[in-house]
Amino acid sequence: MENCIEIKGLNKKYPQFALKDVNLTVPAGSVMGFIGENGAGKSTTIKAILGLMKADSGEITVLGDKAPDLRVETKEQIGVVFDGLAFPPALNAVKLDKVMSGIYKTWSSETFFGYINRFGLPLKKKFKTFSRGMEMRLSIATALSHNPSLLVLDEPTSGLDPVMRSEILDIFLEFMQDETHSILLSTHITSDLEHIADYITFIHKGEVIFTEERNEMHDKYRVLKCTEAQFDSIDKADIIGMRKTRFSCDVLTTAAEKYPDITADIPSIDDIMVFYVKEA
Amino acid sequence: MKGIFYSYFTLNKSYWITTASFFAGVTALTMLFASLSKELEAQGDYTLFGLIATMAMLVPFIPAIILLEPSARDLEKAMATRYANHILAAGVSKPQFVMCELIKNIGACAIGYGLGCLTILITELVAPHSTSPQLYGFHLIIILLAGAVEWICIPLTLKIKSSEKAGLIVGIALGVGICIASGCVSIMTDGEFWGETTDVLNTIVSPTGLLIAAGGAAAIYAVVYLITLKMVKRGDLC
Repeated sequence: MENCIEIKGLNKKYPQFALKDVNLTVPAGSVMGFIGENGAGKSTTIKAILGLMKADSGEITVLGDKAPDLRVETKEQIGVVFDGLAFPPALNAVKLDKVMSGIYKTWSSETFFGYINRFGLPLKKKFKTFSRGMEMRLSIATALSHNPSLLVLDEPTSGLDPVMRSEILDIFLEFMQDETHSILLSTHITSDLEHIADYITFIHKGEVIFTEERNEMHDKYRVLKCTEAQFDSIDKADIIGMRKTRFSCDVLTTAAEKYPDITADIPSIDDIMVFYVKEA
Repeated sequence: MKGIFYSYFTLNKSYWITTASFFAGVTALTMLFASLSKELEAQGDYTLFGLIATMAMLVPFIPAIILLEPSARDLEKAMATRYANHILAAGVSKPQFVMCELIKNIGACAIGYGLGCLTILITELVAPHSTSPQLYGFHLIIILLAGAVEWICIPLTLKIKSSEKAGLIVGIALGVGICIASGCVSIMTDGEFWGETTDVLNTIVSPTGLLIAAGGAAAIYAVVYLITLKMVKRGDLC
């Protein structure tokens, strides 16, 4: 299987929001970072991938199976983390283990309790007493405990402190040691992606703006720090986005080599996202 | 599916405890009503006898009604916490998800009917000849219809995300429906239908009555199952 997720021409219209012709491909054995601001369509796209909503049009293939009617065997191979805890707050870790062992055929209690121990989570404390960070750790432990080959993660590191975020990212890297494993990781914290993502897809107002290889992004994009006179000399077609400050003008471009006299910086993923959003 | 039932039983423990306590209380009360009604009948106080006998007939339904209550509430909570999404994204298919809801409903009906029969049986043992064998049939009819009504609440809960509102809508619709139907029958028969029906139990618990109730309940179950499945397939539950 070349691609573990393939979305072609996905459209879904809601009264206040629409996904417009979304195309997304996650090659097998890779980590796809899925970025965009709040309400851009990341969670809706993830719901479509998991078969939790029916698209108006388009085609979604997950691990060779067509969504939304994914086979149970296919679902068993997908580890999911939703944005926030998606378990009854009256349960505790011991009871959740029993619930999940009755839902997933491939559930491993040993793996689950291993992660619970590793994340320092209590066994018998009800989830309603958990902090946001504890909820996310529990969700990640659950997603990893049924031997999945694909992880679909919606904001898995939000609410975690930097130390725990780093540990979670290490766990994702461990997961990726198996070359057949893949991750679709939606996040606001784009610095996480600098560490693990192979590809980045940016979605804005329900439309995919770009999908790029992360390493290529570093070579491709530049922020030109220009004066007003220099800005006027830039071909408008080369400007992806711009940000005016009091003394200068920052321009995001992929054609920096055409302007050797202008100072060029390498933008972070955050910078690229902000430039695109401001321009749109 | 096992996991869904495990969480259902774990999360609704208070309902099972309440059912058990009410079963004990209801059985005691039914025995009391049955004994009282026998005495009142012997004394010739038919007004009070009628009231007490009706109470003795209806009180055993309470545990069944309590048992039917948590399924829609459980679904509402599962949607509110997005647990429903997790289940559907996990190793459970959409038809299995709906089937679980159906099994919860039918299971509650079966256990509720069993408890009701047990109450009648115990009452009969304690106060012989105080109950009628027709009560078992009457119980079956009422529980079949109560289960079907509760089952209607499931797609409504999916739609409006509130089991209480769903119950209210179904309750009002049912109440208004029964009132209109009763009124129509009364007008058409010039009030004679109700006047002639002295023995309600005999009228309802006939083979035809049982057949109509079973057929009606089966039709409701089938139609609502298909509607619920369609809604779950369309998605966007949470």
